[in-house]
Amino acid sequence: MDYKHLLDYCLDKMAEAGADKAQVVLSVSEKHELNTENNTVKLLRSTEEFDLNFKFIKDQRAASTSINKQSTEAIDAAIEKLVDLSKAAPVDEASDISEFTEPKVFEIGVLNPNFDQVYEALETLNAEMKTNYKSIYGDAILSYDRRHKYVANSNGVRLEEVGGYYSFTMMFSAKEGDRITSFNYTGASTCELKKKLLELGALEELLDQSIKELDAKAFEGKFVGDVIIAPSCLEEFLEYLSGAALADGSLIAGSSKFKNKMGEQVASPMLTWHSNPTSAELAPGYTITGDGFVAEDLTIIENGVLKSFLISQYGANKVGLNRSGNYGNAFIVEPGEKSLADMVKNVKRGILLNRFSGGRPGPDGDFAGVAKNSFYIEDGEIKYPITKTMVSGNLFEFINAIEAISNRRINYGNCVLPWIHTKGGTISGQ
Amino acid sequence: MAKQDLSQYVAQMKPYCELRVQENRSFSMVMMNGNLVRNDKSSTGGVSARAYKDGCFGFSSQAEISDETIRKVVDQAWENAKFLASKKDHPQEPFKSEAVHETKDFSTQKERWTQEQITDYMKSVDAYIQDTYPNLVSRLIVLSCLEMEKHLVTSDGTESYLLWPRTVFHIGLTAEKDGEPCELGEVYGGIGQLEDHLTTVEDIKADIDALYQSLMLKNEGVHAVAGYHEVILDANLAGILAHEAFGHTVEADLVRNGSIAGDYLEKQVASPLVSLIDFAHSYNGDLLPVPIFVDDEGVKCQDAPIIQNGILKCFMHNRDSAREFGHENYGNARAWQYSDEPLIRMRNTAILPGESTLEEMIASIEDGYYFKKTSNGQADTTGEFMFGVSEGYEIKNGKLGKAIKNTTISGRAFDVLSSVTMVSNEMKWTAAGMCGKKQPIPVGMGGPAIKCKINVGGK
Repeated sequence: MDYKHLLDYCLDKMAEAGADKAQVVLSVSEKHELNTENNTVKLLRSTEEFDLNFKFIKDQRAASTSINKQSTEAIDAAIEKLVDLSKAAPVDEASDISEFTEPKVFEIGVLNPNFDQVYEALETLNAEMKTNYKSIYGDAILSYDRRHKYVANSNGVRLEEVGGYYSFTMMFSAKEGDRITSFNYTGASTCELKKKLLELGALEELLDQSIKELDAKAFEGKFVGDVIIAPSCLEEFLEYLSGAALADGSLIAGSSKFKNKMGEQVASPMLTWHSNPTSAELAPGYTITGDGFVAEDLTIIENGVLKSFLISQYGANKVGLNRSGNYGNAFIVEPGEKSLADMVKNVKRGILLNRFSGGRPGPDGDFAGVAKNSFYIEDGEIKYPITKTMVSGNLFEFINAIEAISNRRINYGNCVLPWIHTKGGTISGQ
Repeated sequence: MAKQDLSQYVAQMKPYCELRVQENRSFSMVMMNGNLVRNDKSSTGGVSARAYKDGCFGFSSQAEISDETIRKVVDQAWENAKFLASKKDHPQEPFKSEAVHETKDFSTQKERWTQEQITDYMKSVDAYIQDTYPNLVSRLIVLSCLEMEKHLVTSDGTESYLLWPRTVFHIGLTAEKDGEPCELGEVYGGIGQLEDHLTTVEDIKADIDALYQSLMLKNEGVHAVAGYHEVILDANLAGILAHEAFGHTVEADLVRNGSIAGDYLEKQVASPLVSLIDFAHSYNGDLLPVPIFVDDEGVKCQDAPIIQNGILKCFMHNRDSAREFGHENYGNARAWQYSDEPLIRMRNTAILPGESTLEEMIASIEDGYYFKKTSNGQADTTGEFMFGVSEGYEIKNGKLGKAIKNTTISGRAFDVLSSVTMVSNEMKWTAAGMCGKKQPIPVGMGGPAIKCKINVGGK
């Protein structure tokens, strides 16, 4: 049975089982992945996956299930389970499926990969690492991922996305004698595989920093000062903000500090933050949301004013808001006007925060964690790399205390982010 | 998962190859303020093979399980290994070890609950919380069940079968003070299916009441004072200390990549009061949260005696690293999904108990903290680690004081374990752990309470 008939079969079976509303998402993916251990290619992994996700609503009682088998026996058994699950579920008026839209097929990214280029790029990196980064130890992964996704539902939705991309990640640390650094990691996705992987994302910069970190010092004392959040950890902070105040969970729970702030100033006027899954800047983003709608780009905060939540159809129905055009990721922050060097010059005392290792903040936005791979700044100069240093603060205060945003941004393929200079971080050492 | 006769494929498997048929089944219900926001039952299964040639591995997987796909992944894995080996000139012997045969099935012996019974249980727990504590801002109840079923054969004759279920039941409560939300949660459950852990709402009322009382203290709590403090890490935190602070630094792949522990074998790395073991499957005759009898490379699992009385004694290995280092392999190679290759992972990592009581330990601190619950944790190759603390109390003049708000603690493994001056005689295990390292994997963690010095975040 071809996939389109398979989707029809699933919807027909759910209708027969009594569904008032039914939705199926099929994802067929393959991965070709090369893994290195300390600059030697060690593993070639090729996988083929198949995922079929069902949503079933009867009398406003909803349930979902997923299987990775395509036989009619497996599908029939899954639907039987769904009926059982939904019968026992409480009535929830917010449960729904995506509304009718004209059928569409989206093609994104690389559909004809060059596997020789994948091997060659990784071996080029291995050679460069052996020659120029003898103090760096680490593992790298370079893969090509291809996915074909179909969404079909009883409202007549028929959406299809076929896409592929190259993805690179590396985890590394530096070691010379008995001096070692904290590990760091980075990655990027791309549609144009460069021969030099060092040019992807911020890899080269972070490797250079890792070598400098061999001379890291344990910071002593405690002060409240400035924090320049590097792109390498800004995405994590934006995700924390999303979870604490913008997404389904906090809005349904009523704990979001932004719940009554739409259209109001919630951050510095310098901050403009988008979630743009269809942006040509990304490699690639996504075209269909997890709940089966065509993804739209949106602005979360514009010049500091809250413009959109990141809320799904269910969340929107639950709290009486409009559904967002998507619900997250693909973050793009507008650049500012200053160079990183000029931003550093304006810091009396603070840190350049390259990686944050800490707990996910609660809805109050308070966070505390270790400032990893980071540098101490004093009197407008980066003084030295730091170790054993904690940074704490509040997410909501941080975005209101922005002093500057860099004019340069790093494109990681799935997000495009600048450096952000803010104030009010508590820096504490031993 | 229908059990296959995998032995028929061994002849097709080249000098060294693993063939694994696996299915992970999950069931998840999330009730937020009485709304069932998640009600999902899923399964992911398939077949994979990993072959080895001259220092290189080839891996292949398929979601469909049939004679055709099994033969296909075995061939493809070998082709992948051959491709990489053809680029190199380092002949290596295939792996060989003693063949092991093991079958373990930890399915419940109790009558299975119907979906209606499960939903009613969730609703009754929610109703109890709502009726008893109407002042709460939100209530979160999560039931998360996982069954991992693995069937493995290797070219050197090992065959193992494991059905391991885990049930995690989480209750999270949120209060508010002056517009500031304050959360606290508790996790229940462990190895076994839900029928092995859930009974009636009456049996959990006392736990909910205790959780609420702790939340009220936290809601009135103070921020911890940032800095270096003498603290007691309760038994719940000692496990994550064993896992995050030290365990990761002695995984051989991280040792190879420059982990600090690499230079300290047979050296003093902790207080003589500290012994730390990565247990395979049992402790004092009792089954542990994540019992692994044969790992995913077909190696018979043994306890890895990592620290004995403060001396670092061993690393954790897979077949490849054990050969490279010339060390004993305790069977630490584990894979999450059928489509994942085995990585070096911990199993049930714990500091061994000592002789002090918790009361004596609290009484011994003039100005410090008693940290009771953790929210998460991360480690580093330097041994530097952090974890979030979701419940803790001040200690003033040997007595517990005010509750504290969420904070984070950090330190360097060797420094913190060397600063241990008291170890409690009580051993507790936690079963809800998931460790992330390319793939997630369930882990068990355990330990007593320890008194040590640590860096505390805060205002």
